[in-house]
Amino acid sequence: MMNLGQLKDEGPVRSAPGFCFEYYDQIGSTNTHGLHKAREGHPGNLWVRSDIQLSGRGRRGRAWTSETGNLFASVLLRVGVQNEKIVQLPFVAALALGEAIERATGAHNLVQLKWPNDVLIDGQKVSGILLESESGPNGELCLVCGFGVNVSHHPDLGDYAVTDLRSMGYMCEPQQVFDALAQSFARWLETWKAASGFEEIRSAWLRRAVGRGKPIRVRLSNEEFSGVFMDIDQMGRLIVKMDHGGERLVTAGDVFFS
Amino acid sequence: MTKETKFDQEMIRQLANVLDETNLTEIEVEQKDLRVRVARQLTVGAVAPVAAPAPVAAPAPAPAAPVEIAVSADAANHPGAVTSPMVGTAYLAAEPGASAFIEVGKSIKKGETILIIEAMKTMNQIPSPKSGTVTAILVEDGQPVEFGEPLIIIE
Repeated sequence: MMNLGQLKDEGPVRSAPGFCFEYYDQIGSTNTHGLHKAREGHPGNLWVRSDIQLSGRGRRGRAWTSETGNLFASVLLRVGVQNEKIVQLPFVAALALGEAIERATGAHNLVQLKWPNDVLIDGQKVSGILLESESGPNGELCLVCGFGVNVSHHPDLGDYAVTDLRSMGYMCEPQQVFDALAQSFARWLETWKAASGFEEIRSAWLRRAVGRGKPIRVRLSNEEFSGVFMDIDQMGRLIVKMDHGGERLVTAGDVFFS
Repeated sequence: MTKETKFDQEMIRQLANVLDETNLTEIEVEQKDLRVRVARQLTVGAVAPVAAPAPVAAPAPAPAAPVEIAVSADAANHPGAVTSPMVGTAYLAAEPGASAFIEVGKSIKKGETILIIEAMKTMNQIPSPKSGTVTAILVEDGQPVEFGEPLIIIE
Protein backbone atom coordinates (compact mmCIF):
# COMPACT_ATOMS: atom_id res chain seq x y z
CA MET A 1 0.00 0.00 0.00
CA MET A 2 2.88 2.31 0.78
CA ASN A 3 4.51 1.37 -2.55
CA LEU A 4 7.71 1.30 -0.59
CA GLY A 5 10.67 0.27 -2.72
CA GLN A 6 14.22 -0.62 -1.74
CA LEU A 7 15.96 1.32 0.99
CA LYS A 8 19.06 2.59 -0.84
CA ASP A 9 20.73 4.26 2.10
CA GLU A 10 20.07 5.54 5.59
CA GLY A 11 21.90 7.18 8.47
CA PRO A 12 22.76 10.62 9.78
CA VAL A 13 22.53 13.57 7.39
CA ARG A 14 26.13 14.75 7.09
CA SER A 15 25.22 18.34 6.27
CA ALA A 16 22.68 18.61 9.10
CA PRO A 17 23.78 17.29 12.51
CA GLY A 18 20.85 15.97 14.52
CA PHE A 19 18.94 14.77 11.43
CA CYS A 20 18.73 11.27 9.98
CA PHE A 21 17.60 10.15 6.55
CA GLU A 22 16.03 7.22 4.76
CA TYR A 23 16.58 7.10 1.01
CA TYR A 24 14.39 4.85 -1.18
CA ASP A 25 14.45 4.06 -4.88
CA GLN A 26 10.68 4.47 -4.99
CA ILE A 27 7.89 5.38 -2.62
CA GLY A 28 4.21 6.32 -2.71
CA SER A 29 4.73 9.75 -1.25
CA THR A 30 7.55 10.96 0.95
CA ASN A 31 5.05 12.97 3.02
CA THR A 32 2.79 9.97 3.56
CA HIS A 33 5.77 7.88 4.62
CA GLY A 34 6.92 10.61 7.01
CA LEU A 35 3.50 10.71 8.68
CA HIS A 36 3.50 6.91 8.78
CA LYS A 37 6.85 6.95 10.61
CA ALA A 38 5.42 9.51 13.05
CA ARG A 39 2.49 7.21 13.80
CA GLU A 40 4.97 4.41 14.43
CA GLY A 41 6.54 6.60 17.07
CA HIS A 42 9.56 7.98 15.24
CA PRO A 43 11.15 10.76 17.33
CA GLY A 44 11.38 13.15 14.38
CA ASN A 45 14.13 15.08 12.58
CA LEU A 46 13.92 12.46 9.86
CA TRP A 47 14.36 13.13 6.16
CA VAL A 48 12.60 10.72 3.79
CA ARG A 49 13.90 10.86 0.26
CA SER A 50 13.05 8.90 -2.87
CA ASP A 51 14.13 8.80 -6.51
CA ILE A 52 10.54 8.37 -7.65
CA GLN A 53 7.16 8.97 -6.05
CA LEU A 54 4.36 6.77 -7.35
CA SER A 55 1.61 8.90 -5.86
CA GLY A 56 3.18 12.27 -5.26
CA ARG A 57 0.72 14.81 -3.92
CA GLY A 58 0.32 18.54 -4.06
CA ARG A 59 -2.06 20.84 -2.23
CA ARG A 60 -5.68 19.64 -2.04
CA GLY A 61 -4.96 16.39 -3.85
CA ARG A 62 -3.29 17.92 -6.89
CA ALA A 63 -1.06 15.31 -8.45
CA TRP A 64 2.66 16.00 -8.32
CA THR A 65 4.59 14.45 -11.20
CA SER A 66 7.48 12.61 -9.67
CA GLU A 67 9.94 11.23 -12.20
CA THR A 68 13.50 10.30 -11.46
CA GLY A 69 16.01 13.12 -11.81
CA ASN A 70 14.12 15.50 -9.57
CA LEU A 71 14.34 15.74 -5.80
CA PHE A 72 11.57 14.40 -3.58
CA ALA A 73 12.23 14.74 0.11
CA SER A 74 10.15 15.29 3.24
CA VAL A 75 11.28 16.10 6.71
CA LEU A 76 9.40 14.87 9.76
CA LEU A 77 9.42 17.17 12.76
CA ARG A 78 7.98 16.91 16.18
CA VAL A 79 7.41 20.40 17.38
CA GLY A 80 6.56 21.18 20.95
CA VAL A 81 4.95 24.49 20.14
CA GLN A 82 1.42 25.71 19.92
CA ASN A 83 -0.44 25.41 16.70
CA GLU A 84 -0.41 29.13 16.03
CA LYS A 85 3.33 29.19 15.46
CA ILE A 86 3.16 26.31 13.00
CA VAL A 87 1.83 28.72 10.38
CA GLN A 88 5.29 30.26 10.25
CA LEU A 89 6.94 27.03 9.11
CA PRO A 90 6.04 27.37 5.40
CA PHE A 91 8.23 30.47 5.36
CA VAL A 92 11.07 28.56 7.01
CA ALA A 93 10.70 25.88 4.34
CA ALA A 94 10.58 28.30 1.41
CA LEU A 95 13.55 30.30 2.64
CA ALA A 96 15.60 27.16 3.23
CA LEU A 97 14.81 25.81 -0.22
CA GLY A 98 15.52 29.13 -1.93
CA GLU A 99 18.87 29.34 -0.22
CA ALA A 100 19.62 25.67 -0.97
CA ILE A 101 18.95 26.09 -4.69
CA GLU A 102 21.29 29.06 -4.85
CA ARG A 103 24.00 27.13 -3.02
CA ALA A 104 23.57 24.01 -5.17
CA THR A 105 23.63 25.99 -8.41
CA GLY A 106 26.21 28.52 -7.25
CA ALA A 107 23.98 31.35 -8.48
CA HIS A 108 23.30 34.42 -6.36
CA ASN A 109 19.99 36.26 -6.35
CA LEU A 110 18.49 33.54 -8.50
CA VAL A 111 15.47 32.63 -6.43
CA GLN A 112 12.38 34.61 -5.57
CA LEU A 113 9.60 33.63 -3.18
CA LYS A 114 5.87 33.95 -3.70
CA TRP A 115 3.48 33.96 -0.75
CA PRO A 116 3.54 31.90 1.19
CA ASN A 117 5.98 29.24 0.04
CA ASP A 118 6.38 29.08 -3.72
CA VAL A 119 9.97 29.12 -4.92
CA LEU A 120 10.40 30.81 -8.30
CA ILE A 121 13.15 31.38 -10.82
CA ASP A 122 12.38 34.10 -13.37
CA GLY A 123 8.76 34.03 -12.23
CA GLN A 124 8.47 30.30 -12.92
CA LYS A 125 7.74 27.71 -10.30
CA VAL A 126 10.72 25.41 -9.73
CA SER A 127 9.41 23.45 -6.76
CA GLY A 128 6.46 22.60 -4.59
CA ILE A 129 6.24 22.43 -0.84
CA LEU A 130 3.50 20.58 1.00
CA LEU A 131 3.17 20.77 4.76
CA GLU A 132 0.93 18.43 6.68
CA SER A 133 0.45 18.11 10.39
CA GLU A 134 -1.34 15.71 12.67
CA SER A 135 -1.50 15.07 16.36
CA GLY A 136 0.13 12.02 17.84
CA PRO A 137 -1.46 9.68 20.39
CA ASN A 138 -0.40 11.95 23.26
CA GLY A 139 -1.54 15.11 21.55
CA GLU A 140 1.93 16.15 20.46
CA LEU A 141 2.15 17.68 17.03
CA CYS A 142 3.88 15.89 14.15
CA LEU A 143 4.58 17.83 11.02
CA VAL A 144 5.93 16.77 7.65
CA CYS A 145 7.27 19.27 5.21
CA GLY A 146 7.61 17.83 1.72
CA PHE A 147 9.75 19.31 -1.03
CA GLY A 148 9.52 18.51 -4.70
CA VAL A 149 12.27 20.24 -6.64
CA ASN A 150 12.43 20.31 -10.44
CA VAL A 151 16.12 19.58 -10.84
CA SER A 152 16.19 17.95 -14.28
CA HIS A 153 12.71 18.31 -15.73
CA HIS A 154 9.29 19.80 -15.13
CA PRO A 155 5.70 19.05 -16.06
CA ASP A 156 3.69 21.30 -18.37
CA LEU A 157 0.93 22.86 -16.35
CA GLY A 158 -1.73 25.14 -17.70
CA ASP A 159 -2.23 27.24 -14.60
CA TYR A 160 1.35 27.99 -13.69
CA ALA A 161 4.60 28.82 -15.41
CA VAL A 162 6.93 26.00 -14.43
CA THR A 163 10.60 25.38 -14.99
CA ASP A 164 13.50 23.22 -13.84
CA LEU A 165 17.08 23.96 -12.94
CA ARG A 166 18.55 22.19 -15.99
CA SER A 167 16.29 24.10 -18.40
CA MET A 168 17.54 27.31 -16.83
CA GLY A 169 21.12 26.21 -17.49
CA TYR A 170 22.01 25.04 -13.99
CA MET A 171 23.45 21.55 -13.98
CA CYS A 172 23.27 19.92 -10.60
CA GLU A 173 22.20 16.63 -9.09
CA PRO A 174 19.31 16.00 -6.70
CA GLN A 175 21.91 14.92 -4.12
CA GLN A 176 23.53 18.36 -4.12
CA VAL A 177 20.17 20.08 -3.71
CA PHE A 178 19.27 17.68 -0.91
CA ASP A 179 22.51 18.26 1.01
CA ALA A 180 22.11 22.01 0.73
CA LEU A 181 18.43 21.84 1.64
CA ALA A 182 18.97 19.70 4.74
CA GLN A 183 21.65 22.11 5.92
CA SER A 184 19.68 25.30 5.24
CA PHE A 185 16.51 23.86 6.70
CA ALA A 186 18.25 22.89 9.94
CA ARG A 187 19.72 26.37 10.25
CA TRP A 188 16.44 28.25 9.62
CA LEU A 189 14.61 25.85 11.92
CA GLU A 190 16.98 26.82 14.72
CA THR A 191 16.34 30.49 13.97
CA TRP A 192 12.60 29.87 14.05
CA LYS A 193 12.80 28.15 17.42
CA ALA A 194 14.43 31.22 18.99
CA ALA A 195 12.08 33.58 20.80
CA SER A 196 12.00 36.34 18.19
CA GLY A 197 13.15 34.08 15.37
CA PHE A 198 10.29 34.77 13.04
CA GLU A 199 11.25 38.43 12.68
CA GLU A 200 14.54 37.38 11.05
CA ILE A 201 12.72 34.84 8.88
CA ARG A 202 10.09 37.38 7.88
CA SER A 203 12.77 39.93 6.87
CA ALA A 204 14.72 37.36 4.87
CA TRP A 205 11.53 36.15 3.19
CA LEU A 206 10.43 39.70 2.30
CA ARG A 207 13.83 40.44 0.76
CA ARG A 208 13.13 37.68 -1.76
CA ALA A 209 9.39 38.27 -2.09
CA VAL A 210 7.90 38.91 -5.52
CA GLY A 211 5.21 41.49 -6.06
CA ARG A 212 5.42 43.51 -2.87
CA GLY A 213 3.58 46.79 -3.45
CA LYS A 214 2.09 45.41 -6.67
CA PRO A 215 -1.44 44.44 -7.65
CA ILE A 216 -2.37 40.96 -6.54
CA ARG A 217 -5.30 38.64 -7.11
CA VAL A 218 -6.24 36.18 -4.38
CA ARG A 219 -8.26 33.08 -5.15
CA LEU A 220 -9.88 31.39 -2.16
CA SER A 221 -11.83 28.18 -2.36
CA ASN A 222 -15.11 30.09 -2.44
CA GLU A 223 -14.16 33.63 -3.42
CA GLU A 224 -11.75 35.74 -5.44
CA PHE A 225 -10.64 39.32 -4.86
CA SER A 226 -7.89 41.72 -5.82
CA GLY A 227 -5.86 44.44 -4.17
CA VAL A 228 -2.23 45.36 -3.51
CA PHE A 229 0.26 43.09 -1.73
CA MET A 230 1.51 45.23 1.16
CA ASP A 231 3.28 43.01 3.65
CA ILE A 232 3.10 39.85 5.74
CA ASP A 233 2.39 39.97 9.45
CA GLN A 234 3.88 38.14 12.42
CA MET A 235 1.78 35.09 11.67
CA GLY A 236 2.79 35.12 8.03
CA ARG A 237 -0.61 36.33 6.87
CA LEU A 238 -0.68 38.19 3.61
CA ILE A 239 -1.78 41.79 4.06
CA VAL A 240 -3.73 42.94 1.02
CA LYS A 241 -4.85 46.53 0.61
CA MET A 242 -8.27 46.24 -0.95
CA ASP A 243 -9.22 48.13 -4.10
CA HIS A 244 -12.29 49.50 -2.30
CA GLY A 245 -10.33 50.54 0.78
CA GLY A 246 -9.41 48.67 3.91
CA GLU A 247 -7.08 45.74 4.37
CA ARG A 248 -7.61 42.04 4.32
CA LEU A 249 -5.54 39.33 5.95
CA VAL A 250 -5.20 36.15 3.96
CA THR A 251 -4.39 32.80 5.53
CA ALA A 252 -5.12 30.45 2.63
CA GLY A 253 -5.51 30.65 -1.10
CA ASP A 254 -3.66 31.02 -4.37
CA VAL A 255 -2.19 34.36 -5.30
CA PHE A 256 -1.55 35.73 -8.77
CA PHE A 257 0.29 38.79 -9.97
CA SER A 258 -0.76 40.39 -13.20
CA MET B 1 -30.63 48.21 30.97
CA THR B 2 -32.99 51.13 31.59
CA LYS B 3 -33.69 51.42 27.90
CA GLU B 4 -34.96 47.91 27.78
CA THR B 5 -38.55 48.94 28.41
CA LYS B 6 -38.44 51.44 25.57
CA PHE B 7 -37.66 49.10 22.70
CA ASP B 8 -40.28 48.29 20.19
CA GLN B 9 -41.81 45.08 21.41
CA GLU B 10 -44.00 44.82 18.37
CA MET B 11 -40.96 44.87 16.07
CA ILE B 12 -39.34 42.06 18.00
CA ARG B 13 -42.53 40.09 17.96
CA GLN B 14 -42.68 40.48 14.19
CA LEU B 15 -39.05 39.46 13.83
CA ALA B 16 -39.66 36.43 15.99
CA ASN B 17 -42.53 35.45 13.74
CA VAL B 18 -40.34 35.86 10.67
CA LEU B 19 -37.73 33.70 12.36
CA ASP B 20 -40.30 30.99 12.93
CA GLU B 21 -41.76 31.21 9.44
CA THR B 22 -38.41 31.15 7.67
CA ASN B 23 -36.79 28.64 10.01
CA LEU B 24 -33.73 30.89 10.25
CA THR B 25 -31.57 30.81 13.36
CA GLU B 26 -31.08 34.54 13.61
CA ILE B 27 -32.12 37.91 12.21
CA GLU B 28 -30.43 41.21 12.81
CA VAL B 29 -31.97 44.60 11.96
CA GLU B 30 -30.79 48.13 12.46
CA GLN B 31 -33.15 51.11 12.66
CA LYS B 32 -31.81 54.55 13.51
CA ASP B 33 -29.65 53.96 16.57
CA LEU B 34 -31.26 50.73 17.63
CA ARG B 35 -29.85 47.40 16.59
CA VAL B 36 -31.73 44.23 17.39
CA ARG B 37 -30.71 40.67 16.83
CA VAL B 38 -33.26 37.93 17.31
CA ALA B 39 -31.88 34.45 17.59
CA ARG B 40 -33.02 31.01 18.61
CA GLN B 41 -31.66 28.96 21.46
CA LEU B 42 -30.00 31.61 23.46
CA THR B 43 -30.66 33.17 26.80
CA VAL B 44 -29.49 36.60 27.78
CA GLY B 45 -28.07 37.21 31.25
CA ALA B 46 -30.74 38.71 33.48
CA VAL B 47 -33.64 38.43 31.09
CA ALA B 48 -36.15 35.87 32.26
CA PRO B 49 -36.39 32.93 29.90
CA VAL B 50 -39.34 33.13 27.56
CA ALA B 51 -41.45 30.03 27.26
CA ALA B 52 -39.75 27.69 24.83
CA PRO B 53 -39.64 27.38 21.90
CA ALA B 54 -40.23 31.11 21.36
CA PRO B 55 -37.04 32.88 20.39
CA VAL B 56 -35.49 35.31 22.80
CA ALA B 57 -34.60 38.81 21.74
CA ALA B 58 -31.32 40.48 22.52
CA PRO B 59 -31.88 44.23 22.60
CA ALA B 60 -29.12 46.76 22.12
CA PRO B 61 -28.74 48.81 25.29
CA ALA B 62 -26.79 51.64 23.66
CA PRO B 63 -26.16 52.52 20.04
CA ALA B 64 -22.38 52.73 20.56
CA ALA B 65 -22.10 49.21 21.87
CA PRO B 66 -24.59 46.92 20.22
CA VAL B 67 -25.07 43.60 21.92
CA GLU B 68 -23.18 41.00 19.97
CA ILE B 69 -24.34 37.54 20.80
CA ALA B 70 -23.68 35.02 18.13
CA VAL B 71 -25.71 31.86 17.90
CA SER B 72 -22.44 29.94 17.49
CA ALA B 73 -21.63 30.81 21.09
CA ASP B 74 -24.24 28.25 22.01
CA ALA B 75 -22.64 25.57 19.89
CA ALA B 76 -19.22 26.45 21.32
CA ASN B 77 -20.60 25.91 24.82
CA HIS B 78 -22.08 22.57 23.87
CA PRO B 79 -20.26 19.91 25.87
CA GLY B 80 -19.69 17.87 22.70
CA ALA B 81 -18.40 20.76 20.59
CA VAL B 82 -15.02 20.38 18.93
CA THR B 83 -13.61 23.84 18.36
CA SER B 84 -11.03 24.99 15.87
CA PRO B 85 -7.49 25.09 17.25
CA MET B 86 -6.48 27.70 14.65
CA VAL B 87 -7.52 30.26 12.08
CA GLY B 88 -7.72 28.82 8.59
CA THR B 89 -9.86 27.13 5.98
CA ALA B 90 -11.79 23.99 6.86
CA TYR B 91 -11.98 21.05 4.48
CA LEU B 92 -14.29 18.14 5.12
CA ALA B 93 -12.46 15.74 2.78
CA ALA B 94 -8.82 14.96 2.09
CA GLU B 95 -9.14 16.35 -1.42
CA PRO B 96 -11.88 17.65 -3.73
CA GLY B 97 -14.15 14.78 -4.79
CA ALA B 98 -13.03 12.47 -2.01
CA SER B 99 -15.53 11.27 0.55
CA ALA B 100 -15.83 13.34 3.73
CA PHE B 101 -13.95 12.27 6.84
CA ILE B 102 -17.13 12.26 8.92
CA GLU B 103 -20.90 12.17 8.49
CA VAL B 104 -23.71 13.17 10.79
CA GLY B 105 -25.03 10.11 12.57
CA LYS B 106 -21.84 8.10 12.13
CA SER B 107 -19.71 7.06 15.05
CA ILE B 108 -16.14 8.21 15.37
CA LYS B 109 -13.19 7.09 17.45
CA LYS B 110 -10.87 9.32 19.42
CA GLY B 111 -7.91 10.33 17.29
CA GLU B 112 -9.63 9.86 13.95
CA THR B 113 -9.38 12.78 11.59
CA ILE B 114 -12.56 14.86 11.57
CA LEU B 115 -11.44 17.47 9.05
CA ILE B 116 -8.46 19.37 7.74
CA ILE B 117 -7.80 23.00 8.48
CA GLU B 118 -5.46 24.71 6.09
CA ALA B 119 -3.50 27.54 7.59
CA MET B 120 -0.76 29.07 5.50
CA LYS B 121 -0.61 26.14 3.10
CA THR B 122 -0.19 23.75 5.99
CA MET B 123 -2.77 20.98 5.98
CA ASN B 124 -3.57 20.31 9.61
CA GLN B 125 -5.47 17.12 10.28
CA ILE B 126 -7.74 17.75 13.22
CA PRO B 127 -8.21 14.62 15.33
CA SER B 128 -11.37 13.80 17.23
CA PRO B 129 -10.78 14.51 20.93
CA LYS B 130 -13.10 11.68 21.92
CA SER B 131 -15.15 8.74 20.71
CA GLY B 132 -18.85 9.18 20.04
CA THR B 133 -21.42 9.95 17.41
CA VAL B 134 -21.24 12.99 15.17
CA THR B 135 -24.51 14.86 15.74
CA ALA B 136 -23.73 18.06 13.84
CA ILE B 137 -21.23 19.41 11.34
CA LEU B 138 -21.19 23.17 11.76
CA VAL B 139 -18.86 24.17 8.92
CA GLU B 140 -18.96 23.80 5.18
CA ASP B 141 -16.21 22.51 2.94
CA GLY B 142 -13.86 25.39 2.14
CA GLN B 143 -15.23 27.65 4.84
CA PRO B 144 -12.90 30.04 6.69
CA VAL B 145 -12.85 29.31 10.42
CA GLU B 146 -11.70 31.30 13.41
CA PHE B 147 -9.82 30.13 16.49
CA GLY B 148 -12.31 28.60 18.93
CA GLU B 149 -15.09 28.35 16.37
CA PRO B 150 -17.17 25.20 16.85
CA LEU B 151 -16.56 22.74 14.02
CA ILE B 152 -18.63 19.69 14.89
CA ILE B 153 -20.54 18.23 17.79
CA ILE B 154 -19.80 14.74 19.06
CA GLU B 155 -22.14 13.14 21.57
